Amino acid sequence: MIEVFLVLLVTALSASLLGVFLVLNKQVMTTDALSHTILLGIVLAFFITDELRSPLLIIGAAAVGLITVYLIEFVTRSGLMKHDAATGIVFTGLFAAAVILVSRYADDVHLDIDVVLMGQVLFAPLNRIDIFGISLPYALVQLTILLMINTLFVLLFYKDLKVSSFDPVYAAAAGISTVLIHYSLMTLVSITAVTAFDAVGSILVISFFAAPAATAYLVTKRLSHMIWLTLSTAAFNSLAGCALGYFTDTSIAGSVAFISLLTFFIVFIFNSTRLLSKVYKKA
Amino acid sequence: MTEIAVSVKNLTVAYNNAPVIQNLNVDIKKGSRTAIVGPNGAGKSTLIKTIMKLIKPVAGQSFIGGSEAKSALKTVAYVPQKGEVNWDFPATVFDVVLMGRYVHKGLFKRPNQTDKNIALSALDTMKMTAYKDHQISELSGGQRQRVFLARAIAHNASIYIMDEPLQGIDITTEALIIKTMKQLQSEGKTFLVVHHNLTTVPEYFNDVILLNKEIITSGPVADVWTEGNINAAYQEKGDKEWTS
Amino acid sequence: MDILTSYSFLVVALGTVILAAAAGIIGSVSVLKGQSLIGDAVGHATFPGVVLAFMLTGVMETSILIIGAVSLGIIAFLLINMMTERSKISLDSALAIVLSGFFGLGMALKSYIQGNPNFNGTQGIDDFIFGQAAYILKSDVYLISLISVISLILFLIFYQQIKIYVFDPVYARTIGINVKLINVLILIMTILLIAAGLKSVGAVLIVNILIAPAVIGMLWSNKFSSVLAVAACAGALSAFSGTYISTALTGIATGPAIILSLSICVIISMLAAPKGIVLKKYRMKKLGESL
Repeated sequence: MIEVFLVLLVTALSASLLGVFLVLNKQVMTTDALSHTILLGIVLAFFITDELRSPLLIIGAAAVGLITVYLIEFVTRSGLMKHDAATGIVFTGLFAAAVILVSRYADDVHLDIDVVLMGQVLFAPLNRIDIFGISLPYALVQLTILLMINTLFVLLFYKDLKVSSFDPVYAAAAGISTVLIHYSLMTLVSITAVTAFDAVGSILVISFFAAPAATAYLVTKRLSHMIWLTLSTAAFNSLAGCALGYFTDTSIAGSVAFISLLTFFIVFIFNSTRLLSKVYKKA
Repeated sequence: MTEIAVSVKNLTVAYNNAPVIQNLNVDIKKGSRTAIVGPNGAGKSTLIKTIMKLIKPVAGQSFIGGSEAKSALKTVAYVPQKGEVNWDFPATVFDVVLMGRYVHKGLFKRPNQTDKNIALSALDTMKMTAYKDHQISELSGGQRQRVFLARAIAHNASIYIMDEPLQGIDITTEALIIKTMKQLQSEGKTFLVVHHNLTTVPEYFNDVILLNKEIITSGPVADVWTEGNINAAYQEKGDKEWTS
Repeated sequence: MDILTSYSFLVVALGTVILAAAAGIIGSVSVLKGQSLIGDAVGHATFPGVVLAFMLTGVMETSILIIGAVSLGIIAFLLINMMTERSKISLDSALAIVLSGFFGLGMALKSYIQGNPNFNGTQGIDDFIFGQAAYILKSDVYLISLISVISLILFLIFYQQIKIYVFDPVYARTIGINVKLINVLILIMTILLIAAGLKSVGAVLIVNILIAPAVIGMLWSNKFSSVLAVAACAGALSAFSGTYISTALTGIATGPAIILSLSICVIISMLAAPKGIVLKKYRMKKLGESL
């Protein structure tokens, strides 16, 4: 059980850290899109390799995730439709294709649609890898490496990320490559979504990207504070959700996603009532 | 011969099918306070965004300090229009001003104590030191504009490009911005400002560009700021041709 | 050919065609208002409603499950509204939080009843995630038709008001249109259609039949009434071919099949429609030559 929690925790931290910038840039629904469409990449790569544990699956999925981002932006830039309509159309189209491929051609293998949405975090510890003689869950190792990469990215590009999400025009005018920053961020988001998706399913991935960062955004005044609070909230949500799922014997991924919504609302209500009292004082 | 800070040659910019700016030629003198004036849709914001290489022109070139390269943009500080910024961003006044130093820091480098001191003194110039730790969403329109000018000062640019900096702000801030502009001009800085208030043009600027898709006229305010030229810019010129 | 004349196929196809035509028309409003993805969040949010309705009543009766779906859909919408109006949270973040939180609740509840001997016949719940027209009953088709027809009649009655509201809400208010009422009306129609479509299209992909027909319509015309007409036709056509494919070939869920048909229509329209890429390139080239 400890290992299940650790997998959740590391996933939550890697996704929510990038989620900070997605929330600030109003791009969270893009993760909704790509966390669904990566299934198409997994399926296609599976047809090529015929093996579920191949690293090609991850690469294929990450590639399709990126293609999703590019496609949405290409369609939006062409001026044919608005960004939100493009998001909705691109993701449902690619996901529908994936669902049909899975149900028609891969029904007999372990590519269950339910698992795609809901993940199987309970099974994550079953897949193990030996490092320096210590047996560790494969997913945990994978996600820990990813967490380190994401942390390094945010540390190195902190000021560029900050100025390009606060004031993109100024940033671009000052010669900071906002396009490069944007695509690097989305590449990492895509890779994180794929890796996390395998363990916790697409719905919880979206929740990890959105909920902790939005919760922190409600109450913080500085970016650095927002990042710390996001990470703490993500850890809390994983712990509380994991416990809820464990004790009620329900889907752990589902419980964590639901708890994340609750945490947000508790902070939301606390925050708006305090604002109310401020208004009363002034009046 | 006076030095040229910004130069635009044969510039044409189009969105979709309609040209917004057509065959534009203009030079902005180094050390000038130049206003860009014209009716809505005249292409004022488009012009400055093209100068900053944010929009790719259909034809023509723009030069900053004689250079067409993107790296020349480092000498330019941009003061954005209010709507372009995410006001709910979790940043304090000091954070925003410090962003003006980012351009001088290569990849991976954080602002150091010198940068912080520069930011503090820029805040002092704009009389915003008391608000240093306030979140930007708590500021009034005038205060926000002061913060942005402070950021441009911290940037230590030689050319300041501003998009309607005086729109919707209080008189004190307006006076302070103009005073600061004149002070910086005396240090050799150039200002290129999109301006909407026709009555204050002669008082605030020494050069003016009258724009309506193409240059109506440009030059020293004393020479070109005439009723005839202003009317020429503000009549709905050539509109039927392009809106069809 | 025998499928096309089979009675059960025709019944199911009739249901999906009416539904998609109605969704195309009603969905146009949210697309024009730039709120396309609300349907996605509300669609996902109906899932726990279906499970809850089943848990409370113990019967797998479509009309009861739809009531559950509509209730949770409305709650989700109200929460999204509250979040965006009373805090600095953007619509984008609000949608993602509500979508994942509600669907997560559905997942938890579903896993609870599946492991519980008190609940029998939970298998049917999965059909609400991706839609399976093969299991659609005649009574389901009546329900879908009823909901679609009611939505369309409401839309027709308020057509003028809706039209003004879509293009200029401020003006609409000044000439005395009850903007709040129109808003609520559109919302209820949308949620009802989503709930009606769950069994044939599914909660995850339902947003597509609300957006894609409208986008197709907007590519072919600038006139509101023509946009709606094209949207309805595109929706109906894709629903028919999707249902056909899903019935003719084994192992293909109906929802994804309809959506793939719609996606093909979108791609064709993006290229060939009057406002599409090909003609636009041609016009730009002409402009370049004339300069």
